[in-house]
Amino acid sequence: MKKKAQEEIVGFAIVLVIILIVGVVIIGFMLRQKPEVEQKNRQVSDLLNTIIVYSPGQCNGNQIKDLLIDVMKNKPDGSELCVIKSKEFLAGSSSSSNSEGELQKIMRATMGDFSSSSGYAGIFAYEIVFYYEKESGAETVEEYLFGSTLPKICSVSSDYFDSLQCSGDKTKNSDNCDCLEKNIKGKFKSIMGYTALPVINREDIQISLRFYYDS
Amino acid sequence: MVRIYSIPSLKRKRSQIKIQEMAFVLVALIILGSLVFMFYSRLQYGNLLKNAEEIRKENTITFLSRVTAMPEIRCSSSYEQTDERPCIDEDKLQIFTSNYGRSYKKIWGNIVNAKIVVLYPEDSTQEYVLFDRPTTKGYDGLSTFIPLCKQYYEGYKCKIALLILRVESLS
Repeated sequence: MKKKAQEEIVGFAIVLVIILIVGVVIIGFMLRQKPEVEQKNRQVSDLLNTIIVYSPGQCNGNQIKDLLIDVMKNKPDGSELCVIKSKEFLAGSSSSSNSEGELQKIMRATMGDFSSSSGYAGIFAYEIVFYYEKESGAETVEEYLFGSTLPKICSVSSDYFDSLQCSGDKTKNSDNCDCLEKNIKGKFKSIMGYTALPVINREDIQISLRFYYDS
Repeated sequence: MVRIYSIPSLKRKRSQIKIQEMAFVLVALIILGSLVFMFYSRLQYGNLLKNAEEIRKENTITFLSRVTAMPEIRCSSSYEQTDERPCIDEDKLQIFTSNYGRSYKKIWGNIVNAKIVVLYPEDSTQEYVLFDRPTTKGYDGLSTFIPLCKQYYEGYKCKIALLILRVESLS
């Protein structure tokens, strides 16, 4: 009787082991699926690489990259390569509202096309950061190209700005960056692209662009 | 007498039950095995389709770079001296799309449409069709941003454009 009970227990254990192995195999297959991010990153980087060689009409043949290098070399506002100083031409005026810089205009014109061509239909916000690495004593620090008052260029689409109850002026860059920092980062998915702009005898300018989308 | 014959018949019945039990276990195992096999083959089939789609996408991405590297439309070496990034020469593109491109039918493979659309500046939006072939099948699109530049005496001036390829879908 005792032996029979032992046999039953062994049989039950074998069944459990079989079920467990099958379960592990199924979970293993499910976890093996790779996330598809690479192609999207390539496209964001392509956009950045295209933006930096764009030649605005008012800049005497200078490209966006020439203006960025000018801002880096002639801090804080750059020289007058265009009709106005490079920093203001690129990023607008940080103090007044509704003054778009060339970069915001480019992004406004291309974001829709990016959204439809990349398969991310729900892109509603972006953030661009320009910085370079500078040696400070023993360590390396990141320094924003447009200074600490304008560290990033951000935009949140008007509908989301309202629905996320972001405060401030939705045409102002700093309020858009605030909205991104407080109400969007970590709550929505994002895709990112990156490029580096070599500068002779100086550190490379690093540029990152991140799109936020509502899936 | 009854006792003598009842013992073996009881034994036989018990053995039959044991055999039946074993048969049931075997049947259950076979069903479980076939279920696992079905799940596995379905998964493999899904993966196969996904891989085929990925390979096709990769081929199209490679083709995107091949198009941007075509000497017939890419910027000349004087541009490449200042920037290694790929760029399309607008003058060359105009000639290519007006008549020259017709002799390039064979290189497009399963691509049904290839075009370059100028996106910025907004006042100069334009579309250049590199290749177009009518198809009854569905198609998927893949694109990349590319600078479209014109050479002037003082150097290249570039616009922001999108190169769009449409590829025949598998199904």
